Amino acid sequence: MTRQWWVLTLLLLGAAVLGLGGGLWMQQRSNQVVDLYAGLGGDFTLAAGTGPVSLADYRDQVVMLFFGYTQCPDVCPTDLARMSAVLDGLTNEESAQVVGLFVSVDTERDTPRQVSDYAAFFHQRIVGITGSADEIAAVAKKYYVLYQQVEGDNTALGYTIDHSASTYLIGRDGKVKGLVQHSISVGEMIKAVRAVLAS
Amino acid sequence: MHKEIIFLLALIFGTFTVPAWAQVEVHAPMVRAIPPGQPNSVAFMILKNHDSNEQVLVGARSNVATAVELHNHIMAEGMMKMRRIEQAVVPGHGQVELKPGGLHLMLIGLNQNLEVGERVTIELEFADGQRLIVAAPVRMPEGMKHEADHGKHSD
Repeated sequence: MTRQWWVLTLLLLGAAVLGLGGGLWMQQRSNQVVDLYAGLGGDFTLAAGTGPVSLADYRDQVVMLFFGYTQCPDVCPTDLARMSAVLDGLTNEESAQVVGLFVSVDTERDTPRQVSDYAAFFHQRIVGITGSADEIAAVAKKYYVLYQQVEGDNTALGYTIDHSASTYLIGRDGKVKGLVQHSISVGEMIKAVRAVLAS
Repeated sequence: MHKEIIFLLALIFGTFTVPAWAQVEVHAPMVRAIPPGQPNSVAFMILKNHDSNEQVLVGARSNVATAVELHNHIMAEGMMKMRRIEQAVVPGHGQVELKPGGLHLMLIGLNQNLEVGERVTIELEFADGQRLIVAAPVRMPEGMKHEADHGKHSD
């Protein structure tokens, strides 16, 4: 009898250890998933044509954040046009909770007014903002955004700016939930935005 | 050849006109509408080569811009980089697509605002001396509605 109790106790103890270990392992795994974008992003305040704009102003909304510049010949219009199509592709109820933020890294040429007007051309729910060279550098560092000015030696264009072309999807809590690449389709991006809306 | 006549034909017949001797045909040309006051825009089109020899696009010009240049995009070091290229080769019986995010014609130093629906005349020059006049309509960026001010009342 005693022996049987021992076996049962050991079995229960073993199961408890396994369960605890498994639970911890699972928790660690889920933490890893949650922490995928940890250390990336954060709040910032820059200027639109109408005044200061902070990411925190859009708490409880989903933000599509993109970095570029207004004289950007092809990449930015392509991305902003897609953002516009995404906003139009969502239901009215959904798009009322989604906003686009276009940050100009061309601090030499772009004024807040110019960036805001430029972004609004693509959609009224896309807000164009910029700041001083230092302010932009600080935001870029938070988001691991790369950009560099390139002198146009063999072209009639002035300088151009090489820059990261991913769009950040930021959740209602102000945290980065996903990154979408320049090559994504409107349909795929709508899915990605809906996933963040639902999270 | 009779450039003025070709130009007139292009104006009369719309989208594109191909002179009888042309080996390269232009499909679906468009110029992208941009916010008023922007200095540059882009033109996209498909160049089809009906000849067995390759055709090389070496230059372009337009009366709406100071310069028209061929540019391409490359993704490198995590950044999109746009660079001017000297020429675009259209293989024999092949085609080259000028499209967003890839090869495109830059219209640099616009001397007028581009109105949606208006046609922009672009002259393409090939290595063998062949010239094509393209009348490219101004269109809203891909996927966007015709009206730029949609959503104005949603805020």
